[in-house]
Amino acid sequence: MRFVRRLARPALIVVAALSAAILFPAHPSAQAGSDRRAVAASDARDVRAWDTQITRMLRGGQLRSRGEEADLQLEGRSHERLDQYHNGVKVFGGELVRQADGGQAVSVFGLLYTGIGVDVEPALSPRDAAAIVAGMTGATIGPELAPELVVLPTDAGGYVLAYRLRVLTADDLTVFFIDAATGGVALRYSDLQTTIGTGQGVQNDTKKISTTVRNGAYLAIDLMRPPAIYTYDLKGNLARTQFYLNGLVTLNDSDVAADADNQWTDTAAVDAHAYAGWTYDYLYKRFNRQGLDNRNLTMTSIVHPVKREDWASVPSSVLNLYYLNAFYAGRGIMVYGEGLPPGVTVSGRQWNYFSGALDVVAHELAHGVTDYTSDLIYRNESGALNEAFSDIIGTSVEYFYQQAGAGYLKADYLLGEDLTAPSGAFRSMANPQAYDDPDHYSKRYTGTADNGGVHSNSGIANNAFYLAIEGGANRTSGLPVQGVGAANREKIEKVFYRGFTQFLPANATFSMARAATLQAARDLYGTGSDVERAVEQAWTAVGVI
Amino acid sequence: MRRGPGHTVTRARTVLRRAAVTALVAIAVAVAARPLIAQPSSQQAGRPQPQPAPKTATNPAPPGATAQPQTSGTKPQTGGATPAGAQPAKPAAGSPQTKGVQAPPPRKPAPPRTSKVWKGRGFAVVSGGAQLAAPGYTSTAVFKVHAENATLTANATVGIGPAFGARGGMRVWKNLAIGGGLELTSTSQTLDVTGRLPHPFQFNQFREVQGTADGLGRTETLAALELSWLIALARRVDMFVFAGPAYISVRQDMASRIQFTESYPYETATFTGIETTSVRGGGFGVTAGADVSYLLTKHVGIGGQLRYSYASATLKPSEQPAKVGLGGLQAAFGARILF
Repeated sequence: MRFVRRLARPALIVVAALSAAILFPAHPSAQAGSDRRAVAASDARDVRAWDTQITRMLRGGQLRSRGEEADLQLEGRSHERLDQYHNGVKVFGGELVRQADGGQAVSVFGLLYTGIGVDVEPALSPRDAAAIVAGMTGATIGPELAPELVVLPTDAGGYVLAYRLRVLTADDLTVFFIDAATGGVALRYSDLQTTIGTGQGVQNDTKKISTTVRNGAYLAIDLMRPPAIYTYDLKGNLARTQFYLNGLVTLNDSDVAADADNQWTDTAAVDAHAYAGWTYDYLYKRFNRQGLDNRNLTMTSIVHPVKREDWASVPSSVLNLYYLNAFYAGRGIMVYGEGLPPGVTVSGRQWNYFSGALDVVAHELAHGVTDYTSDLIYRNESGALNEAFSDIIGTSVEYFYQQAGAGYLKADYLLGEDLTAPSGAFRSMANPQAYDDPDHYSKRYTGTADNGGVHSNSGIANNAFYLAIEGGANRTSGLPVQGVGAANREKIEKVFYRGFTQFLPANATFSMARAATLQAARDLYGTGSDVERAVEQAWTAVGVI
Repeated sequence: MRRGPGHTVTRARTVLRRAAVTALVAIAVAVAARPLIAQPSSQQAGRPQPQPAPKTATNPAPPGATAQPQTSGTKPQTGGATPAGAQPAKPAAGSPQTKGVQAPPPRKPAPPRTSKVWKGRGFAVVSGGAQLAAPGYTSTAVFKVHAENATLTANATVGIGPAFGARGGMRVWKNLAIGGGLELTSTSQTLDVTGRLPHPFQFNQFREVQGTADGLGRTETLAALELSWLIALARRVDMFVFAGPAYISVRQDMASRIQFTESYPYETATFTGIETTSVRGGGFGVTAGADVSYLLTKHVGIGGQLRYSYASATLKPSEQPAKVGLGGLQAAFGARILF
């Protein structure tokens, strides 16, 4: 007891201090993790402790200074980055950053890895590692791109001695970590910082777009889908647009639509970029098709090919093509018209950016699908079928993403209704005659204008598609069709997709389209199925036998 | 922060360090507090013990003695036990118990007896054991994924872990002592995690993911003001029952974000883990328990303790606060000092 009593007073002092330490730990800066230690020292005591620790680790070779930079915002301050090393090999991600004020440490932040026990003698040489990466990517790796030997902390909590190498491939910038013992890929990731931004569409709707960070800016480059999807903003430079379309120049990052904060306000770029992705998704989900060529061809959208304010001074050909139109230019390239300035009307309507209509975007991309499948010749009946297929896909994509209804951002059988104010359309699949297009083969246009009426005679096939789904009677023939119903539209979409892309030759006729879609209906749903019956009745109703 | 095996070692070191400090706290508090309490004579110090036999018939009871020690159910002893080798005590003159009665024959010294009244001045207890059960909790976190809010719901189960502690107290009245206790526990948590992850391309299309994460650390420190009542159970066996208000501070890892993988067309996502954040907090509550001691010597013994504590704290791993139950049931064993 005497012994205990003698200890009482000093023990009490120690206890007072230590109990405070227990109850209120004052070292949040050293956060123990499974195998890493986060450091966030900003109070004087912690900073002093870490400053001492850094000095010790520098002497021991566990840290190496990467250099010190002057603070450009606070005079007198400097920042030093210190890399963590294990037996002379850099630990990937292990780093401390020490801020000093007049040589006195002010803060220490960073992360250190603990418990590293890997052997730092690699079995592979840097050249071996480079060869492995080159073999995997097909990239040619020059001598300047020497792999760096690092200790790689793994997600599982261990460590691997690996070579780190960043390689630029056709559409990605990939960081590889090649296991220095086995030659396997210990880790790989894209160093292209893909992200999701949001933006206002032409109809002021907010949507997500997949973007990529480069040089501090967000670019309209979608690398989250299998094909890269680029949206270029040509800033009204028609000459550059035309040079590009003719293959005279290539576009680069400075031409890509960009935004500073990923909250996009260029409505034309937002819709072009988002809708291109949506269309790819539709083709993939509905038909398991991988892009325009089924090989994930890069998709390129061009917005702002001209300046809106120049509309009054440009030739009518430019006005009709680059202001009041959208077109597929081949090689996966779509060009979207600029529309007209607010208040300017043509045909009694104001015209917005042509990328602002989902059915228009999908329509143009469907031309790309046709290009890589039946390649329907763009004149006369085959041309009309080409247009009809694009209208069918355009409308189907609308129904895939939008609620059925009338007006902006609603799914319907009108084409381009989201582009104009008041809302109008170019064509109607339900009632082609409402837009002076034939709904029956007997009324087809047989002149030479518009490549033999490709945008007009498409109404015949469009109406057949509509009737096969919705049913009803053709307005000209009066023949009734028992459609499969809106709930089963997927069946008719698949039938027309299969018939048009798989069976039709380039110079197909309406009659061939009937046969092809009937074959597709039988293939997919069986002879005598309600789908076959609907398709047959629909073609008959529009006068195609 | 990712979870992994090295974490446990660091945590165990911390707990051991704190346990040592806690022991010192209890001892020091008990000893340092002595002058504040009326000091009995040195003969009274120690565990509740049998009253020493009077050396003579006139030997009065020691000052401060309030009752004869006895074990419940045993025959009251007027003369008390005689130490080994001592002469039989003479009956006190006029003593009603001995008047007219011959002194009893010499007999073997009786073993020390338990007492209903504790005459010691205080006690200190140092224990180590385990936290056997602890309340779970549910936390939620909201974080951005693909430019939209994702949510995480974690149902936490707190596992068994080591517990170390110390208690001490000074007797203030009869068998009542007032003192304090410190307990340290280190446990790990297992989380059943459910997440709703937004689709990258479309708003309001969520993918559900589920998974389990374990090895999340949790350290609790309990500081309690305790009233203890001693109950003598047997010759060398005493029991303290104690209760009092407590403050429990906690430092624990909480889920702040879900890690997942996804690939085109992103219709589903796969849970791969969680990100955690270390959160601190604390709350007032109560503690109660029982401590059974077996005395090996006059002052030193061993014993076991069961303690239940409860408090709740509001912790904020993210913007969403979570009410977390603290404490639980602990069992511990260790050394006892009575003085």
